[in-house]
Amino acid sequence: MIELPSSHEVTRLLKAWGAGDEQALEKLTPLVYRQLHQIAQRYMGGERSGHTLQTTALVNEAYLRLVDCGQVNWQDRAHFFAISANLMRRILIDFARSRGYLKRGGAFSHIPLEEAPSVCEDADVNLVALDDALNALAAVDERKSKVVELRFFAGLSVEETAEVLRVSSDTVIRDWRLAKLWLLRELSRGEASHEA
Amino acid sequence: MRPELWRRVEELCQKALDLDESRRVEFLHSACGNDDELRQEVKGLLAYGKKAEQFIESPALEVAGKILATQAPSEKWKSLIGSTVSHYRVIEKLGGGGMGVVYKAEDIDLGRFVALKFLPDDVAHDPQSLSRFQREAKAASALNHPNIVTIYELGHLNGTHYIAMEMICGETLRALISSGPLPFRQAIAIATQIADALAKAHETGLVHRDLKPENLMVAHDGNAKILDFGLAKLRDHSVDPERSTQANLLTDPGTVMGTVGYMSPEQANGDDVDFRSDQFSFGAVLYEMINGHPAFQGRGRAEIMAAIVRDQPQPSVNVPAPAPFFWILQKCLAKDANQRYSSTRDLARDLATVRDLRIDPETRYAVRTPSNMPVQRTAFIGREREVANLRQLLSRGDVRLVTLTGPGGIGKTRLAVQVVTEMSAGFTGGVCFVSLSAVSGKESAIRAIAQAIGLREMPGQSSQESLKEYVSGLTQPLLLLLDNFEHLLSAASDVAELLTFNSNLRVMVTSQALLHTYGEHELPVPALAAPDLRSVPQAPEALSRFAAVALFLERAKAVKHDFTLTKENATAVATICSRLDGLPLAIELAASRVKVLSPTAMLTRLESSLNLLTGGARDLPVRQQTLRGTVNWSYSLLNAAEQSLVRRLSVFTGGCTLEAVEAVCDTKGDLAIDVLDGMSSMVDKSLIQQIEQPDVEPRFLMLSTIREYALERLVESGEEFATRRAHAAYYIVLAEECGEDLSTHPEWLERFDLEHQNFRDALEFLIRTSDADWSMRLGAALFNFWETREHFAEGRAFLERLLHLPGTVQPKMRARLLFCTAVLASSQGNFDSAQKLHEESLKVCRDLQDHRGVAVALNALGVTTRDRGDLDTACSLFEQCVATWRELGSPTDTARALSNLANVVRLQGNYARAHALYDECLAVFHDVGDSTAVAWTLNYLGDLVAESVDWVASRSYYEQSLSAFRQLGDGWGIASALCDLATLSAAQSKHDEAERLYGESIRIFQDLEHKRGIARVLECFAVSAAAQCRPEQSLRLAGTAAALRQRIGGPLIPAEQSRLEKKLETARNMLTNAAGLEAWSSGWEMSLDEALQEVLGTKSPPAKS
Repeated sequence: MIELPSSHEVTRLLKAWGAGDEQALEKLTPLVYRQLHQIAQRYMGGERSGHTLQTTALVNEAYLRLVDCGQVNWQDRAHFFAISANLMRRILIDFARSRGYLKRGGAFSHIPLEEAPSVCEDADVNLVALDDALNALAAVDERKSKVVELRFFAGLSVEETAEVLRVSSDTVIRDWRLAKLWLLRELSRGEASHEA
Repeated sequence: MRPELWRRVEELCQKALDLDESRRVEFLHSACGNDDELRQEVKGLLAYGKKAEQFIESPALEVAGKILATQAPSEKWKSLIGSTVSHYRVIEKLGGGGMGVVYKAEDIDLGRFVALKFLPDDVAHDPQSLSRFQREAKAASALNHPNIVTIYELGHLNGTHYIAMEMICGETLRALISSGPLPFRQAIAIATQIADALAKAHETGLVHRDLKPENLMVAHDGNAKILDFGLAKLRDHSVDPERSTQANLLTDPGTVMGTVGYMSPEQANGDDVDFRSDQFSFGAVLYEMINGHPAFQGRGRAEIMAAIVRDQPQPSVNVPAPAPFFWILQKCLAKDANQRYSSTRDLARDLATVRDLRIDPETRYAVRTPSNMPVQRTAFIGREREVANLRQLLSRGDVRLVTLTGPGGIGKTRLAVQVVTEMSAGFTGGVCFVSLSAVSGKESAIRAIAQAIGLREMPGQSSQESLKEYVSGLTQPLLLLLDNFEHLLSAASDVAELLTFNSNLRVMVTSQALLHTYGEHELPVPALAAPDLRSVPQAPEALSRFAAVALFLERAKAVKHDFTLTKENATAVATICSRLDGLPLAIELAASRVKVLSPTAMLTRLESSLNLLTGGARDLPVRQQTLRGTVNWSYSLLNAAEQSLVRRLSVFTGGCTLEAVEAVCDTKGDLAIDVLDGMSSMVDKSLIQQIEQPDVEPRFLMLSTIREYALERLVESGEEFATRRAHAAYYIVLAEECGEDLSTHPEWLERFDLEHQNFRDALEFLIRTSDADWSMRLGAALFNFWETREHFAEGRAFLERLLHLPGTVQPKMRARLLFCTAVLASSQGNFDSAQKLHEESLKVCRDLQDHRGVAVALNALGVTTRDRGDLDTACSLFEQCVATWRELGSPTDTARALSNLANVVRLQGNYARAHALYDECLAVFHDVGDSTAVAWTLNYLGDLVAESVDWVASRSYYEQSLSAFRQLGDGWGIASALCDLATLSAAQSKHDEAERLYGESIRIFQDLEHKRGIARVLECFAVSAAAQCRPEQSLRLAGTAAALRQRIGGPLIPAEQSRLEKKLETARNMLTNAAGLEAWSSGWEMSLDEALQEVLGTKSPPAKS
C-alpha cells in the first residue's frame, strides 16, 4: 500500500495545485481514490441503504484529510476550501470519465446488466454531464455554480459554504435550490439534444 | 441568457418556490403579464421541483464511490489503484478490453511512467501459449521500431500476469476516429507509419493477427504505434475461440464487435493465417480512418463475419484521395490472400509514394508565376546606400527574411517595391506584393497572402495548409513582400514557420516594428538626407545633391513645371526639407503646394503649424510629430469642401473609383465642390494617389498614414456613421447589380476583386451595427462572387455570422442565405453541413409556402444527395422537385428537373425510365424553343442509349446534338459532343478515328480554357490507351487528369469515378502495382502542356504486342 501524504504535505500540495502545479494533482489523486475505494467497499459489502451515517462520515473524513484546517488562518481556510472543492471536482470528474461515462446521454455502456447491483436513485447522476452543466451555469450565475461546487463536490455544509463565499446561510440555501433546478433543466436539454 | 432576464427569472422563481405549489400558477400569471418568454423560463425551471429534492444531495464522492462499487468487475483490481505491484505503483486505469486491463503506473526503480497491462486469467492459464506469447511480444519489441510499442517487461505476481510497456501520451486510433473520418493527409501519415512497422515485423516472421483501431495509438506528436503484438496468438491457442468471444462479449461488447470487424476472411473461416491477414485487417482500419465507418458492418458477429467473407465494402465517398490510394486499399481488402501484397514492404512503399505525391505548384495553381508589384508613377529619388544594402542582403543565400523598419511616411514601401521590381528577374518563382494595411487578424493575414499569390481554396484545406503546401513545393525562388505588417505582429510566427518549409522562399517585410523572429535581418530605413541648417550651402546645385531637396524639386516640378531652385528660394526649400526631418511623405505634401505658395510663404505657414502641434503632443516621437503636423498643415490648407471630401474618402479601403466617391462622399449633394475637381485637387496635393491601369477605370488610393488622419477627422466631424452607411449602400448596389452575372462578365469579376476589401469593410460595418436587413442583402449579393472566386471559407464565415444575427429576419431572406451557405459548404466538400442547410432552407420555404423556393431547395438537396452517392434519396427528391414545378406550371423548370431526375435514374441503371424522362424533356424544350437545352438533352440521350450498347442510335443522337451546338456556336457543347462521338468510335474499336475526334475536342476545350473539359478528354484518352494495350500511357494520362481535377477543385462524382476506375482496370492489370503507381504518379507530376503535347502531337507509338 502506498504511503499517503501527511496532512502537512497535503496542505503544501494543495497550495501548489492552486498555483497551477498539475503534478500536485497526481500526488493528491491516490488520496481521494483511497476514500473512493473505502466507500465502494462498503457498498459492495451490502450497505446499499443510501445515505448512511458511515458513508457521510467517511466523506467528511476525506475532506478533513485534504484540508488541515487547524493549520491555516481563516482567510486561507476559505481559500483552501475553494481549492479543495475544485480539486475534488477535477479528480472525481476524471474518475467518472475514466469509468466510461459519456459526456452526454448518461449511463454506462460498459457494465453487463447482471453484474450491476441495484443502485439507489441518486447514483445515476452523470458526473461528466453535470460538470458541463455546471460550467454553463457559471457563465450565467457564477456564485450559484460555486455553491454547487462547494456543497456537492467538497461536501461542505450550508454554513461552511456561506463562510467561504462570505454570504448568509439563507443566500446559500436559496442559491442551492435554484441551481439544482437550473442544472436539472440543463441536463435534460443535453439528453434531448443527444437523442435528436 | 441576458443577465437582466436571468435576474428576473431568478427573482420570480425564488418567490414561487416560497409559495405553496397550488398558488404558483396564479402567481406566475399575474407576475409575468404578457411576457411569455419570462413565463416559459420560470415554468421550465419550476417543473424540475420534484426531481430536485433528491438531486445531488449526496456528496459527489459518494456518488463516485457508488459508481466504483457497481462497476468493479472483480475483487482483484478494486484495490489495485494506489497499490504497488512489484516495482510499479499503479496510478490509474487507462482502459481495458478483452485482452486485459491497462493501468498507468510508475516504475519506482527507474522513475518513469509505464503502461501496465494485466492479462485476464483465462488467457494466461496455459503456460505453453503464455511463453509463446512472451517470445513473440519480446521479438516484436526487439525490432526496436519507432512505430511498435516497446515492451519493458513481462512479469507475474501471485498468479497475475502483466506486461510493462512504453507509456504513450496520445489517443487510440479508435478515439481519434470516433468523431468522424480523419483528414486524408492525417490518415495517410498514420497509415504509412503503421505499414512500415508491419513490414518490418513481417520480415522477421511476426504476424499481429489482431490489428484494429483499439490496438493502434497515435501520440500527440503524430507518431503512430502498434500495440499488442503476439497477444492475439495467445488467445487463439489458449482457449476455444467461440468461448473466448463469449467471454469478451460479457466484459466488453464494443471490443469484440470491433475485433470481428477487422478479421481477415481466412480468420473468419478459421483457416490458417499469415502476414497477409494483417494486410487485410490493416486495409479495414485504413478504410474506417478515411470513411468514418467500419468497412464491414452487420447486426451481429455472424453477419459481420459473413460480410467479411462475401461483401465488398461500400465505395468510399467524398474522400479527397488520389486514385492509387484506393488501389492500395482494394488490394489489401482482397478476399483471396493471394491477391494481396506478396510483401508488406511493397505495401508500405506504395503508401509512401501516395503520401509523397505533391502537386507541382506551377501546374497546380493555374496562376502564372505571381508578379504584382505596384507600378510607381514617380521617379525614385536617393536611397543609393539603402538600395545597395538591400540588394546585397537579398542576393545572399542565407538571408531569408528582411524587415524594413521605420516610422510611417519614411518611404519603406517605396524602397521595397523599387528594389524588388529591380531584382524581380532573379526570382523566377515570382514576386508577390501583399498589402496588409487593411487586414486585421492572423487568419485574415494568412488568407491575404494566399489570395495574393493566387492560391485556390481546396476542399477540406485551410488557407494556411494550402500556403504551406504551396511553399513546400516551390522549385524556384519566390519573394513575398508583406507590406505594412506592424499591426499583425501576432502572425510573425506563421511567417517564420513558412520560411522553414522551403529555402526557395524569401520574405521582405515593411513594418514600423520588428517581427522578432529567428533569422530576421533588419534594415532601418532612414530619412532622406537634408541640409544642415547651420551651414546651408548657397549653391542650388550643391543643395540639390541632398536627396530630400531633390525629392522636393521633383514633386514641385510635377505641379509647377517651371519650378526651379534659385538663390532666392534655396534657403527656404532647404529649411523646409530639414524642418520636415527629411521625411519623404511630408516633403511630397509640402512640395505639391508650390503652385499657390512660394517656398518662403510655405515655410512660414508650415513652421507655425508644426510648432502648434508639437506643443500639444510631446509624447509622440519627433518624426511622427513632424509627419502628423505636415498632414495636419496640408489638411488645414484645404477649403471646407475639400476637407469634407478627404474626411469622407477615409472610409474606402483598397482604393475606389470616381463613381464610388460620388456616391459615398456626396450622397446628399452637400459637398460644395465638384467631385472630379475635388479629386484632381487631392491628387495634385499628394493627399491621394491616382492609379491608372490599362482597360481599368482609374482608381484613387489614400496612403494609410493619411487615411488614419482623415478617419480621425471624420469621427470628429460626427459624419462617420452616415458616411460608412453610404459606403455600405453603394457596395450593396454594386454587388446586387453586378453580382448575378459575374461569370459572363469577366471585367466585373476583376472589379469585384479590386473592391474586395471595400465589400468586406461594408459587411463588417453592417454586422457591427446589427443592420440585419442590409447586411443580409449584401451577403446574399456577394455569394456569387465568393463562389466564383472560390472564397469559400470567407464567404461561409460571413454567411454563418449573418444567419446568427439577432432580430427577426425575413424568412425568404433566411432561406436564401441558408441556400448560399449550403452551396459554399458543399464546395468545401462539407456535404453533411450542406445537406443540413439545404434541408433547413427547404423547411423555411415550405413554411412560407414559397413553392418556387421549395422547388429550388429540393433540386439543390437532390444534387447534394446525388453527389454523396445516395441515388435513391436523390431520385425521390428530384421527383418531388418535378412535381412542384409542374404544380407551378413552369414547363422549362419542370423539364430541367426532369433532366436531373433522368440522370439519376440512369445512374441507377433504369434505362427505360430514363429514356422516357429525357423524351419528355426534349418535347418541352422544343416547345419552349430552348435550343441549347434541346442540344444537351439529345446529348444525354446519346449517353443513355450508348449504355445499352445501341451504337447506331447513340451516334445519331450525338450527331444531332453536335449539329445543334454548331448552329448555336456553342464551343463547349461542340467539344463535348465530339468527345462523345469519339468515345463511341473507341467503343467500336475504331481507335484512330476516336483519337482524332478526341484531339479535336480537347483543342476546343483548350481554346475555351475549359479545364474540366480538358480533364474529361484526358480521361477518355487514358481509357482509349488502355484499350490499345498502352497501360503506362493510360495511367499516366489518368494521373494528369486527376491532378488537373484536384487543381481546379472539380472531382468526378463517386459514380463517375468508379466507372472510370473500372475502365482503367485493364491497364492496371497489365502492370504490377508498383509500375502502375509509378506511371500514374509521373502523370500526376507532369505538366498539362506536356500531357497535351503527348495526346495531340508526338504521340508515343502503339505498343501492341
